[in-house]
Amino acid sequence: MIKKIISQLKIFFQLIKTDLIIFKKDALGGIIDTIIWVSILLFVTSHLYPKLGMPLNYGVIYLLGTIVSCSLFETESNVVSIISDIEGNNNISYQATLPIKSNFVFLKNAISSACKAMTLAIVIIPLGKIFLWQRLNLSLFSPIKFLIMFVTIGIFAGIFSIFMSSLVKGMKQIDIVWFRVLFPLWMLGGTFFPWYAVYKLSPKFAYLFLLNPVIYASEGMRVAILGQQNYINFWLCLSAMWFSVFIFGFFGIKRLKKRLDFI
Amino acid sequence: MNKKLKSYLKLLLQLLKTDFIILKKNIFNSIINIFISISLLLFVFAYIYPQLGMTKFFGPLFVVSAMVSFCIFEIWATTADFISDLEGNKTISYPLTLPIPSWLYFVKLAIYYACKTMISTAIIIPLGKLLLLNRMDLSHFSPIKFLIIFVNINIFAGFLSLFISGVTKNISNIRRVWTRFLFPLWFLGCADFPWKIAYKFSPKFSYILLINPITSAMEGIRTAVLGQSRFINFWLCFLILSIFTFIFGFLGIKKLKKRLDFV
Repeated sequence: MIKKIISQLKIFFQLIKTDLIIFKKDALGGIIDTIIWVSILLFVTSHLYPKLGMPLNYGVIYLLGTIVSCSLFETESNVVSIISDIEGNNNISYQATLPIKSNFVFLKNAISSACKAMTLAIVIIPLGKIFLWQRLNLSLFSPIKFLIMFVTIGIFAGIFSIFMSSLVKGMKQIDIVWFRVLFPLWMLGGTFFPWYAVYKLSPKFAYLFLLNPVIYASEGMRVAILGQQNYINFWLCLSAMWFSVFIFGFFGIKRLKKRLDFI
Repeated sequence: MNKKLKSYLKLLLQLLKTDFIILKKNIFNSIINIFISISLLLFVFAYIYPQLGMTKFFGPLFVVSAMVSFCIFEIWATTADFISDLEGNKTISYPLTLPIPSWLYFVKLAIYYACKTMISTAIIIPLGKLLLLNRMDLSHFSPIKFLIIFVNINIFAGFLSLFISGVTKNISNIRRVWTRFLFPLWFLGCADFPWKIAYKFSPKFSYILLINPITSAMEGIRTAVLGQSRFINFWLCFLILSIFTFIFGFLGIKKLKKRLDFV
């Protein structure tokens, strides 16, 4: 039994390694892209937005939201690659013939996607520090909380892409993933604003926002770097994120298995 | 000569008619996507941002800018379609065998792209007014200026699509086109701030922004809808945008003719 599990895990990690070797070719380009878009956004939000009335530390709030944004963008590109694979070469079916549980094939996909998102997002904090300098006060930075939340967000994004792929019927519907699911989750997920700003606007609205898992990702990341004050409790954020991971993972894998006729 | 011109025009109109029949199937979806996006963006930018200190003028500013922003997003989608056609079915080869000069066919393409975005973005101002009510003051709205700049912006975007299609080597480069060219052009084209704010921040920097045609598009449409007082002179914007339309049109058609090896 243990031998079987070890052999399955070996194949599982080998498959992830293969994905990452393929990703390696594009990683540098992806990191450069991240540096470009984050720099431009940071310049505008930290230097020009204050002239329109935003607080001077808005750049910091925004910066931490971009880590979540980066993962959500990776979710979309993973959905595109899963759907185009299902409609095209169907590599996923080949992987399902390997001597591992079919669940592992989907989990492998989610973890590879998480690793890609984390690789691209890792430059954001150092870049932010260079850009914002003293405005980004790291005195309350908790490396452990950051690491936990960073990995959780990556895994959430990967698992969520599996769930989304199970809902999308074909490439023709790919627009719907972005405009009607990811975009609303992202826009209302606190990547652009802290949750307390919504609470100030309307407490009822603010409680509704708590149904969106992305809000916990944004708030959790802010707590890990800026400290607990003003934000939703870190452990609550973490629990909500993992709850979402299990729910989306369970239903996403179940639906995809049914769709692809896997055992 | 006159007869020949008439036959060209007839053919061109017929081609446009065909395009619109195909477009009719998808336009409703595009409008719904824009409706969702604008509603969410406005909720965040016009209602949550002021809780953080942002000026209330940001909401109307954003609505008007969105008319240009969606043209830019459409450029990316159009270019992706164009390049994937060139690498795949190459359906563009057929209309280029018709008895019209190839440059005229490309002009027709740019006009079609322009009409497509004009139809889908036409809902933005009424929707913005509906969502912002009294916050959006339309007392300075000039219908004539609006019509002139709206058509100008969309035709500019149509020719910019041709130019980008001409210089993009293959479909795998398409994401880079967005991050390294269109995104900086759009975001530093005063997408989220009036040019005068950039001037307040640094006059030298603001003059550099004037080289960017998107700045003229943004400021021009803002003047037409919100009045002249806070923005760059309308006719200057119109002139700059027209020059860039001509430049991108000329270079784009030249590049595409060379790429497709047409006389």
